[in-house]
Amino acid sequence: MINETRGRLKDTVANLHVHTVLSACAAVEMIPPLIVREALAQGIDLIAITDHNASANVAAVQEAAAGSGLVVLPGMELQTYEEVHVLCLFDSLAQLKAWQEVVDARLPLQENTPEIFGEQFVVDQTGELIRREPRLLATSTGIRLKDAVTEVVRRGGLAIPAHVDRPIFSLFANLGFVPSDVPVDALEISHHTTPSAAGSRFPQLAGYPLIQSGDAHHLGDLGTATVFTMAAPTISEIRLALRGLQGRSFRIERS
Amino acid sequence: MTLEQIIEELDLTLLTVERDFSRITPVAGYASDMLSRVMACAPRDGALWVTLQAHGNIVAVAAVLGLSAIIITEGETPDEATIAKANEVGITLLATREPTFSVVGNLWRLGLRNDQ
Repeated sequence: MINETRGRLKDTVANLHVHTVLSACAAVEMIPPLIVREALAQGIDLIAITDHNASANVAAVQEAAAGSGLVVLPGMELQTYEEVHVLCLFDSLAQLKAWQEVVDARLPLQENTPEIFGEQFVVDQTGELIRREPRLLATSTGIRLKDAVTEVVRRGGLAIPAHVDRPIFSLFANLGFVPSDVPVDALEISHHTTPSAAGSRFPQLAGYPLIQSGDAHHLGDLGTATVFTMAAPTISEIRLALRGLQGRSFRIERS
Repeated sequence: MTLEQIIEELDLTLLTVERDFSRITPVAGYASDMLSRVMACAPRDGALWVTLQAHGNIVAVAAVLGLSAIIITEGETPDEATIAKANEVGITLLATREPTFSVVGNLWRLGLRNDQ
């Protein structure tokens, strides 16, 4: 597959960390049609939908994006046992749904309290309400970081610890540094910092591919992106780009 | 107060190899589950650390800081690789079902302070 596409590399502007109204902390404007419209307006080619421990709105965003030119990867922002947030990205909805079953089985049975945490809406491609998710989603699952990363990669996905520069829910805050037995594909920094500022503040970043994403909870956060030079918007191509293999590459600065 | 007395008084389970704990005297204590904060703020050299983190990185942090032992609370259990690593670098791992609050309260009651 890769050989067929050799020589057809192009820049793909990607924000691989986007929440929808299924995440209690996301703004009510984060519905499929607005996400698609605003991402395109901000020059984004590729997004990943990554709600907290959940994926019920991914298909709706994909449907909203159909024919628009925006590519939507299925994803999730997992909260591990250690309270570390990890982006889990896949090529297909089927892969994500199978992973969702694993996560559901390890999510504590707590009810959401919308007045405190916010609403968790499952919506259709137009943004119309289908149902409220009753379970509290943004909490720690029982899945350990090492098992999460290993399992996502084994299932053909990408595992990227999220916003490692942040004071909470971050790999560096909670565990200090990347454990040597956890095969992360890359580390994500938030839009609150820059690669050079993060690099000097966190020497433990050294040696890991570093991406930056919007961690978009509002439409205005959609523009923070990483540019991948690759043949197609797929997991295997992103992985090649992160590793700098076969001519693929990536950079945080947008040209 | 020696680590031997602490283990006995708090009824702690020893996860790593037996040592002569009567010769180890913790000189300070610290409680946190955020390893970044522990690395930045915990007292060094001989302090006792109370946490519910059972992740393998706790051993590296304790070794870097020269801590005397880690008490892992609320019944959390480190995996075998973590225990092996602790034995290798000489960090004692202790476990209890009690929450951190009770453990720290008991250590305080036994006289452990940070101003010694």
